[in-house]
Amino acid sequence: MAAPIKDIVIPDSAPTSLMLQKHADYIAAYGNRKDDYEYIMTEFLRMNGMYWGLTAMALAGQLDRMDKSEVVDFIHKCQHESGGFSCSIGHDPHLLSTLSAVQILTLFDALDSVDTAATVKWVKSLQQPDGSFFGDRWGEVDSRFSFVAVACLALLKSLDQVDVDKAVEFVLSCMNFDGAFGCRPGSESHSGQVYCCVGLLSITGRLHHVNADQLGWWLCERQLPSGGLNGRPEKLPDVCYSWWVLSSLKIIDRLHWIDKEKLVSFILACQDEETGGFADRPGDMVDPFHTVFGLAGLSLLGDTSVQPVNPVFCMPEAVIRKLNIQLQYL
Amino acid sequence: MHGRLKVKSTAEQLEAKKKEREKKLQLYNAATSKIISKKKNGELDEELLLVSAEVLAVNPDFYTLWNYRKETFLELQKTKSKEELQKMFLSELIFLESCLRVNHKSYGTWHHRCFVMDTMPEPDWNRELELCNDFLKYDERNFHCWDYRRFVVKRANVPPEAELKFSLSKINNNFSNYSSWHYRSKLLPVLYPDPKQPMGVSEEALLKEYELVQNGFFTDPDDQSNWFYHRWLMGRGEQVQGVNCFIVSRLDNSAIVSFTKHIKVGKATDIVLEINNTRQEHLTWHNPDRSSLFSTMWISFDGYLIFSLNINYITNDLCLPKNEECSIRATLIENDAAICSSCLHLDVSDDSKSVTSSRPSGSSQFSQELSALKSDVLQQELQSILELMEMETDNKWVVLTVVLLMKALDPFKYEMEIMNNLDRLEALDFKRVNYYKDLRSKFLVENLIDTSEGDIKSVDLKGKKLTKLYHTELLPLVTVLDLSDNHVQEAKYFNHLQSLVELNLSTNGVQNCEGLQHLPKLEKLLLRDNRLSSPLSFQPLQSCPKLKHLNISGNPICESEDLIEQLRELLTGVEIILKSS
Repeated sequence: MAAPIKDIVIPDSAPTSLMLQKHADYIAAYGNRKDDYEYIMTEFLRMNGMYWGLTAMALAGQLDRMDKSEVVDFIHKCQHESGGFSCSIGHDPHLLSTLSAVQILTLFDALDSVDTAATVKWVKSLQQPDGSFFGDRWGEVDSRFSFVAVACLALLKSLDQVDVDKAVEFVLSCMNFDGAFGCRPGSESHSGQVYCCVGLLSITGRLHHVNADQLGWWLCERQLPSGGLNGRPEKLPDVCYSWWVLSSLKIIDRLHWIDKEKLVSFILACQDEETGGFADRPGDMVDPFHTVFGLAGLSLLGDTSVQPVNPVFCMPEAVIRKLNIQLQYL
Repeated sequence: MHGRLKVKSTAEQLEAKKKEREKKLQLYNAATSKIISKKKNGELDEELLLVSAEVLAVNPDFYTLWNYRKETFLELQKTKSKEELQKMFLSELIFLESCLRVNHKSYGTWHHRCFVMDTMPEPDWNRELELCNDFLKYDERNFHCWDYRRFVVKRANVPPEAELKFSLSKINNNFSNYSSWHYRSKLLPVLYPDPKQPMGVSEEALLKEYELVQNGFFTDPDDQSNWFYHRWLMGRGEQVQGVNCFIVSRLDNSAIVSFTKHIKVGKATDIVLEINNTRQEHLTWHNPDRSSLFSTMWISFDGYLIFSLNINYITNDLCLPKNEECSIRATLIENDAAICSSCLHLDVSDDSKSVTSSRPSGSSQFSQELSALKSDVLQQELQSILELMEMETDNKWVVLTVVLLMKALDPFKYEMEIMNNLDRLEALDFKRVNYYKDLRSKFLVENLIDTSEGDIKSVDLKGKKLTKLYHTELLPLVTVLDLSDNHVQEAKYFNHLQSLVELNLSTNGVQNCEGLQHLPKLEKLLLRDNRLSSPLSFQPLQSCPKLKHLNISGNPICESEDLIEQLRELLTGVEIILKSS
């Protein structure tokens, strides 16, 4: 019995051109809804959310509309004595929110407003003998955390503080039969994880460990008839994978293996004409997460109305270039 | 926020929803403030467990609250009896299960379950395995649950045989189950190890897998899980480190070593060169890019300047004896152990010499590595898939698999069929047309390398619809390369072609010269009719010391005299031809 391909059909009424200004307005207004149900329920994601929103604004070329001092002050209050950052004031520090904090401060050129030496020390303390990283002191291990730790240290110019060879070794132990990567050794491949592992190998200059043709084939097979990309075989397409899959393909020089035009149509169809912002799929609710990855995807696909994005850090290329961080691309 | 459909509501509905949410928020905010103040006051007690459970039940991704619960349990562990603790943890497991029933994709919930199981006095691992079975029945692709299952299996020492059986039952239930196929790829090397086989799995076990996956794609030829697994079964093993090619030249006092795997000369890795058994000290090695990256090719020559902080430099000391015969050996050393080496003999009259690792004649160095299986097995496999192709004429997975099998079996005998099938794939699967084009380009070069006898010095690949030149690392002795009239867009990795004197890239889609830098012998470069539009895109050529002749007629840059003037300033001493001759 044949299983039907999981996909969506883009409605005829879906948008076909980029509404950049609407997206910028949507993000700019997002932070003003502090009593909103949605806003309060996602407090555990606040730091990541701010990174998504601010990066979206930067990619739209409108970062100056945002209140830098308010943001920097908030981040400052989220730094713990240990050096790590939490997602919101009073919450616990975690690597995921720490990278977001460092990314935002880099974006605003405001790293000097926090204790970065303590951050480096804290990130270093989370590395384990097998090279992996705990997300926080409670010991969850994930190749995402490896990327986050290494990306954070690269932005802080302190990569030499951890055992890079071991970090690479751990990430390689997450590689699978399909050439892609999972959360931990033994875990199934997932595009989000591929982005993290390939990104780490790019930062550390170890992309030769990737079988680019094998991984590239798995990644380009994520494109569905609708043009959208899924994150794993037999799953529905989703705008955020236009980022995870696309940036990975870009880093391993296989971006041309997908149909760019069809993907552009899919991403554009996920815009909400009324509210601005992007959703995961056409007709769904928008959020800042899908908005930044929609814009970043379009940037990688060559849309020049969006600022060029760096495929490893998902930040404006100009910011990364200014820092003179060495990245490897195949 | 995935998969939430936007629904248009009436004003009345909106108002009702708003009221309901306000009420919820009030409760939520009150609970959250209570938890945070209790935590602040160090009140890690049962009340905190109670209130945080209320919040986590609606918002399981609130990771800080799971942390508070862990802290509370560790605190209570100090005072409670074993029985009391066991009871508490059991009720925590019930709570966690109810959370997972609502949201089975929350990282925090699953991780907390690991914590509870590892902390409670008497964990019941069989119960957990049952829970995994249950959740995987509900969603057989839930990777959180699969990962939790692997955690349980490890803790409970469940034998891999049992897990392989479980994955089989999932596959028999539904072939389209990528997670289960994945699991098998991890279990087989543990259960049926065979270090002599490229994938580390015994041939007998692989044959059984072939049978199983065949059942899968005969049942549903459109399902990609089966095909990805099948391609893995056909896959190659890891290469062992060795020397592909070793070249020395008395004229330039240079040595080039090309390895099968990437290395980086540095603290633990070195290439030792011995001339007549005397080790050459203080040699510096660099890769073709002269970057700090790993590479398969390493070069040492006299006169290479190493700038340190842009102030000091040291020169390399490679000096090959003139007018006398000598033997030269290059050895790769890693952590003080010799990994591989290559040796050659220079006669008095030899200016340069090279040695290329030999391969058995009449076979392909690429297809040999492609498959772990004997050719009669692959032949049978090809037969059955050709049968499938008769029924499924337009199925791209079937056609691609035929291509790969033919390539593995005999790339020369099947060359025409392989190329025809790749053409068909381009039409059948338009979205990935460039994947098939690159694959075709790769196969063409592999066949060229396989069919060449002896060292490859001159390569004619004119008009072959190439999109890319694969395997430049295997062509270090090529002096003349004609790639004109193809679809090549970039020259990446061309600097592996260290002997190249003449390169014809005319009539392609080249937009910049990235990859051509530091080609020590390149004299003539034909780039007619490409897409070069700015002087900057020629910058890499500045580092080609012998470049004399550059033809760029028919490129957009030729339309501007200003730009041409800038280009002449950039490449002084190079004859630049602007008109086709």
